[in-house]
Amino acid sequence: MLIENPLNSSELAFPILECFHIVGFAISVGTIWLVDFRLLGFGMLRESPSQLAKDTFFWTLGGLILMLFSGLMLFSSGPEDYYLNYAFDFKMLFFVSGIIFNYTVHRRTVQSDAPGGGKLVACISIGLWSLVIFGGIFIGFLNSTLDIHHI
Amino acid sequence: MTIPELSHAIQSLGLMTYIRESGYTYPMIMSTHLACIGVFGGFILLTDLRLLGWALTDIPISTVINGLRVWKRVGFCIMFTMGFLLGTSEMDKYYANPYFQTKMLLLVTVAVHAIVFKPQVYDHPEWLDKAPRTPGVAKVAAICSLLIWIAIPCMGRMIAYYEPPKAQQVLSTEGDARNYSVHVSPTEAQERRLRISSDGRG
Repeated sequence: MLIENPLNSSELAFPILECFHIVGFAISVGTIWLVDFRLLGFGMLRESPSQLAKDTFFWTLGGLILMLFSGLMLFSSGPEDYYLNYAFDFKMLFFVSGIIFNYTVHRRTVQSDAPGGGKLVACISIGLWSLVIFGGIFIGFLNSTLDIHHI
Repeated sequence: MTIPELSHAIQSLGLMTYIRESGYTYPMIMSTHLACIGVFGGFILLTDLRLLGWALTDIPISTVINGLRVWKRVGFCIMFTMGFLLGTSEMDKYYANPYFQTKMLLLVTVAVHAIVFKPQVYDHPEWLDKAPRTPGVAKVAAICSLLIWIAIPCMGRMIAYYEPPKAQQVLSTEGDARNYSVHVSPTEAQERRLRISSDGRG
């Protein structure tokens, strides 16, 4: 069975999708880190963390959706290049953890607005999303653990 | 000294050679470069969206601009340093790359944007709060900034996919018996294909 993915018929499709992926990540991770910086006592100190989270909610969600869908399309261009790549496993582990953390612990901490609280939560959030970025870059630099084309 | 020779001399510096040849230093620097896009890029997009009235509308413009100013500068410095290391360590490959050239040109427009709009918009954000509606000049600044800052990472990504017409290029220098053979390493797209066709274990 051979189904040609239309993404592989154009040289430009992959890099253009990557551009969407990067813009989506800049919006989503940027807005999440904006709130994290506030929890750490940096940035827009005149506003409460909960106010910032409320105002960025839809931009974070929109950025995540753009990032997720462009990412799924990138993945579809050569799934075997990805799921056999340790960096991809690493990225997915931290991506799923990041999403779950963001909409559970992070969300509750931000909404409580406890003075001085949430520094650890902010550090974990920044750390998780940084690891997602590092994993993403390393996908291009690590070889797959197994070459499916030679089996 | 011609541009190819100069490029080769730059990437032959000890630090640049080390970055290019070490397995993981290059991607570590690139990841840091990308992480700074999260901080700096995300914050700049938010500032622009606030000026346009599309995001953070409950928060005064001055709070957004003053609160994020330092962090955008810190992010920019780290991002620029990392980008400088990435670019100079692969200078042979980059100097003739049209996407790289476009990216450098866009960085010049960033400076022009700052010269044009900084005194009116970014230095006195309190004035923007008092205005009944966000003044046109602030919106123009935001739109220009959005376009430039979305184009820059896109050009950055495209750099990796440009395939030069010739893979090998030999330079000879006058009065010098040696010939500098400039090895142009494969682009990311070529590497992807190579990886698929090789045994996959590098």
